[in-house]
Amino acid sequence: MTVSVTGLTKRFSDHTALDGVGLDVRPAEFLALLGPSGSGKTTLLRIIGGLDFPDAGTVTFAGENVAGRPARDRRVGFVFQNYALFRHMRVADNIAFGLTVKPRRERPDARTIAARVDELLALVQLPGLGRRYPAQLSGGQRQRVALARALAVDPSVLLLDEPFGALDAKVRNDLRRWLRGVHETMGLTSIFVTHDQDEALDLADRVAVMNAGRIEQVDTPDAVYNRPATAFVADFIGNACRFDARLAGGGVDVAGVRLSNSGPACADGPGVAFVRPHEFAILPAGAPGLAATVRRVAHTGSRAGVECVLADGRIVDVSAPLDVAAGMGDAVTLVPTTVRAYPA
Amino acid sequence: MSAIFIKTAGLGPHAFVAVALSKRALSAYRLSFGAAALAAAINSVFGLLVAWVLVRYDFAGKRVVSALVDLPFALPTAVAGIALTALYAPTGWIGAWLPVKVAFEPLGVVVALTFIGLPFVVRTIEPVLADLGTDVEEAAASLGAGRAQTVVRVVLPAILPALATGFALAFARGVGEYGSVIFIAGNLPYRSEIAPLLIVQQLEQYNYRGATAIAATMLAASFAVLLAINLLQAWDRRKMAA
Repeated sequence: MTVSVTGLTKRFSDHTALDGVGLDVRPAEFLALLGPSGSGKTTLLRIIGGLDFPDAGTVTFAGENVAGRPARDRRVGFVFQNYALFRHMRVADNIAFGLTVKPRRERPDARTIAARVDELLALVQLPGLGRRYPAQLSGGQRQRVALARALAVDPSVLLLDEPFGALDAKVRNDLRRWLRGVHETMGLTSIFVTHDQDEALDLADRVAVMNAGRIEQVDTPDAVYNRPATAFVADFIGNACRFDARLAGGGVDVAGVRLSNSGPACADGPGVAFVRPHEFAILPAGAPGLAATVRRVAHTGSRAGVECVLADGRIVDVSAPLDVAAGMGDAVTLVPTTVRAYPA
Repeated sequence: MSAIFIKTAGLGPHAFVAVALSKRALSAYRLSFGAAALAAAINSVFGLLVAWVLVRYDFAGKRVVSALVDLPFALPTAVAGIALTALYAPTGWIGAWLPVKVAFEPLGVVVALTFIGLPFVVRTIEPVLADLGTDVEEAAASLGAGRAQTVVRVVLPAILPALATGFALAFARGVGEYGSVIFIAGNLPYRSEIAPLLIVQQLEQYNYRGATAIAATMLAASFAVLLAINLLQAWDRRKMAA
């Protein structure tokens, strides 16, 4: 099902959470809402789910405006950040909840409900745990119960708020793969909120990057990473280092080095340039570029992490080949090899 | 407490029954336990409402209301008793307008115990309600539950243990309450006389054994009631604990 929002505006007493947001989510798409905290991503998700209501704008499900409809009439599956499981109910009763609150005419009989619960427990790989209480489950298991509970009512959209936020790194990675698998099996339109760019880029079909109540860019992970549309996206994604620059004749002047601009074409004038950790070359001191001192070298991955201090005291993390010649305390020159620049 | 039982033991079974299970004592127990239970039940309903409003809503003067809830904790019970009597007496500000007689009747005892017990319920439920958060309610709504279904099936069961604790505390306080009750009760034997007053009367007649006999009976009954409530809670907690 297509989910569209247009012109969504939402103000809370002290700030504007959403400022004219428009977004189209395609059927069966897995879309990430990515942004720093306070960017409005959770508010947008809650408005789509009917848990908050916009001051202006429309929300349509398959072309039908649902903006004024409360959550219980929207048939959305909502997975909360802290799962919001019903602590006093067994796992099976949690999952069955959405079926048992249906009006008597539509409510399936007990046997059908039990069968559906077993089916969902199998889907979330927790067979046989139906008689446990939520307190008797691990964080990852609770997350799966929350998902099963949301899926029980056959929602037309699945909304997940920071689905992996409360889990440790190892469990998070396993669950990520698994959730992607579930999404592909179910073919549901799914939207999830995250502040973790790795999670968004790794999991989503498309990523909507949000900043200060607006959507900066909606694109595939590849495009968002390699072709950031705005300075904010370039800054937010990929741990880039930011420099003041001059844009002139399609090129960029950064720290006395002139490079071609890998960012979108823009007019001449003052600008900001972004360079990612692996987009620096480390040259001996004295070459044209940014004078820096090496503070730390870490050989802990497939590439070496070189922490450098610039003349102005800023710290730049450079990702270099493992055989990098720099050692602690060396004076070096950092030369950007790729740079994305935007008008300031 | 063991002194109560040791002293009582010196009484002998016949004398014990004569004092502790006399008709007058029995009607006093009935009033003390009955009024305390009724007051605690009333407080469970209204205390839940007050706690709900304090946790879920922001309004001007919220801190004042919150402080007022604690008033019965701080007010000397005799002051509360005299104030309530003045208000609910047939000529009082409230009593003059009520169709039924409150002061100097068993109903007056219930009023006093309701006043005294309210903060126990409110302060017990408040943190649990705050901890419950709104997301379980939102979860229920997104699963299609209506407001009533959400309250009955999600909110109430979650706060039931706290509600039971609040009830037990208010009940226990009500059974032992003396100062605020004796002024408003009227203290008519067989009608509006509470068990703690009976103990005081025995003491005034230097009948220490008689006083401890009544005390021991109340102690046993209170203990039985509180034990039952605690067992219920333990059973409820066991389902939810890891």
